[in-house]
Amino acid sequence: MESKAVYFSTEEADRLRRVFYEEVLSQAPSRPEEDFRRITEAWLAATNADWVWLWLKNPHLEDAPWELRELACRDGHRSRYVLLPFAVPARNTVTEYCSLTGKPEVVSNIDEWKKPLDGVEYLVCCKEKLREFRCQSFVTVPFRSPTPDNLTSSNSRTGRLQIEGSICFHFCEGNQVVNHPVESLRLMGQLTALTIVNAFKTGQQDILFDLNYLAHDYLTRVTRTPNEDRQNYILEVIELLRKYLNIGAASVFYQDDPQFSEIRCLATTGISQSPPDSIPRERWSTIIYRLNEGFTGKCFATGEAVVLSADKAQSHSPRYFEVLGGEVSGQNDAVLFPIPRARSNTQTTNDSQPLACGVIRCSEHRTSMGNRATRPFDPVDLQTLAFIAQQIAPVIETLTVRIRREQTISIIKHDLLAPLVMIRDTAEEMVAEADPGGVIKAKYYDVMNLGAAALVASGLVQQLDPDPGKIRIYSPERTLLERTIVARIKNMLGYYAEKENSMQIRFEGFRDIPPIWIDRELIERAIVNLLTNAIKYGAPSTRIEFIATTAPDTDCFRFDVINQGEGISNEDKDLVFERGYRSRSVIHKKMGIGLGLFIARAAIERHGGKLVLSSPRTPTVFSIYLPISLKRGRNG
Amino acid sequence: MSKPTVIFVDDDRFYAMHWIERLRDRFEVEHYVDAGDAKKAILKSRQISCLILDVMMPTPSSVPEDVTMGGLETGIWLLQEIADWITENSIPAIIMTNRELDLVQSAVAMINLPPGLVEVRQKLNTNRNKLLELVSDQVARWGRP
Repeated sequence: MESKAVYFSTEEADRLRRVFYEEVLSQAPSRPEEDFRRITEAWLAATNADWVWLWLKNPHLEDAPWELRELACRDGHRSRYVLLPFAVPARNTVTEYCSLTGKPEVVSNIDEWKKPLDGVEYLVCCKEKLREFRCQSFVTVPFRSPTPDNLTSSNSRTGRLQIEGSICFHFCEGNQVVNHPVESLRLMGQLTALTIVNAFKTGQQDILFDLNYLAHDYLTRVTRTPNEDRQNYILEVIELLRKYLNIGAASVFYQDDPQFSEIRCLATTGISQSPPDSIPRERWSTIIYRLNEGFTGKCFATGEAVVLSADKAQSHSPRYFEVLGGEVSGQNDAVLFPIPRARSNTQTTNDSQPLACGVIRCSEHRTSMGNRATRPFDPVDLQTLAFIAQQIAPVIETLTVRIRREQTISIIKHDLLAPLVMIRDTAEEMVAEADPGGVIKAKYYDVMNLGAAALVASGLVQQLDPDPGKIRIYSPERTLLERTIVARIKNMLGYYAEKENSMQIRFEGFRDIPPIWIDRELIERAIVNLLTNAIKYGAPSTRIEFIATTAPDTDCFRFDVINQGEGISNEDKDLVFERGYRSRSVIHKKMGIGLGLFIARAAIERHGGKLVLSSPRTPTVFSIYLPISLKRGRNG
Repeated sequence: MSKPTVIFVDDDRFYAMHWIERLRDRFEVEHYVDAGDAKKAILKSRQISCLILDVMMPTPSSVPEDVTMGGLETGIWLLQEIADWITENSIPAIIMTNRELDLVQSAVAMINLPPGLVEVRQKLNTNRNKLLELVSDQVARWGRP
């Protein structure tokens, strides 16, 4: 092949820029893969090289190999299929040497080139491969992106992309290495870096368009199946991940309930080469990771991306196996990327609060060859993933809030209809049985059914308040507890306890409590909530005690609700008063939304008192303290 | 002659008793508050004439929460689990729910049961006399008096 001498001059710089503009920039918008191919083909056309190779390295991964991302050659595309995918270890190679020195390097003879740096000797490492393609000499030009930040979820918002790579010009037998001026080589390196960054940004616009379309589609739907909507949305996001990242397998994990620090698999593609002990795809929704459990749990806890390399470079052995849940295996590279938590939810209540609210797992990263060959994740992929994670986070959160809201409405609606049906049926039957003069002779249990059902229903209505802990009206009255509240609820709750759980309720000490200033409705609600909880979650056929005393050494009246239930675990005891909190020990017993104790505490605190869990074990004791000095003056 | 047996599955004892008291005029009623316990009892029994299932109930402890959609469709899960058994033995079932009727009906339709074997009713529109008549009709129709 005839060699073309190239000298750096204004004309030469203009020529390279023109090639860059015509062959790469003017073809935009396109995807990174297409631009990588265009830039290598452009440099092939602009020089006398027989081959142009584009190497990239993942700076996020320690000892990451140099991966051959694209190549152009004069014998057409045949060689691409022969060579890609291909990677070399980071250590001791010419590419690594150039990256460390930051200078282009001319290798005139692949057998003789050898250079020391900081006590390490660098060599041409893939001589066999080069000989196979009759390459005898080459020039390597390193490049880096201008903003070398570490790529983590926290700085992914900046949109900065760190890349580290090199462009390599190979010369076959009969062709000569031309002494390209350093400036010319550097310009080609810079333009290549620019292409990569630019390709990513152009790709980002396409992704944004698709994600916006998807978000609009799902967020404007009015359906009664939010669970299905969220799953379908995530499945469509996975399809976009496959399209834009060229991956075969992806899974999305998400924290369904903020009170439990665990994430559940909401959707997955599964992997083509599942390890034998992995969970089959139809059971994917049972895959759960807790804080710091495996790589996925670590990503969830720290909010930082985890890049796992299966290392195609022969000198490295596979470094990871994610056993639990299975779909990431040691056979492929994988990346675990955090779904960022919305800013309003970043207030941490304790040290074990996870910093992400979900994780995207990707593997089976394919080359652009259209075959099943896989390749490592590079900085462009990570940045794309960061962008997608950021875009989908608020949409998934909104859909999750809808699921919780739908669940709450369903439970309250269900619970509210039960007493209403009972009230209606009983009333209808009482009327039907009235004597000819219209006098209704009600049976004792009919009246009790009506009263107890109405009491439960009125409590449920309060839970429909969007902010049930906020006391809007506070109207204290001088009240004799024994005569007003206790007399009202004693028989009805006693009847309810007997029917619901074969329990008895004993009231004690209320006769000794003098009149106090309280908001009757609020205190009755607090007492009813505590007693109905004791009825629902206490052991059947036991006795609940409700005891009033004057607390010694305090200026308070104390009211204890004592039941013989299973007790409250250490894990739950500090959380039982939190809004929406439901202990794991009760979720299989009764459905509920976790507002009873929250409302009770708010009502007591409005009186300047407190509600505490005095004994979490059996017997379980909740204590209300109300100040003796309560006066009308606390109003407002 | 002993009364036919009806299995009543509802986690709310207090409200369930409201229906059960009337059903006892004609039937022997076994009440289960846990869907898992009910499943075991149903599959073991040979003498059931009819089943009455609530839909929203706590998820049995041995079952993953997502299978029942966090308890919103526990009754549907139970129906799925016993579908083969009730089909083979021609045991009618009545779903009594306060959930949206169309959602429950479409979930039941997906189980692929013989036509008429499962009736879906909204509690709000079914007083206890109506339920008693419905159970009697179903028992008579499917031949296990």
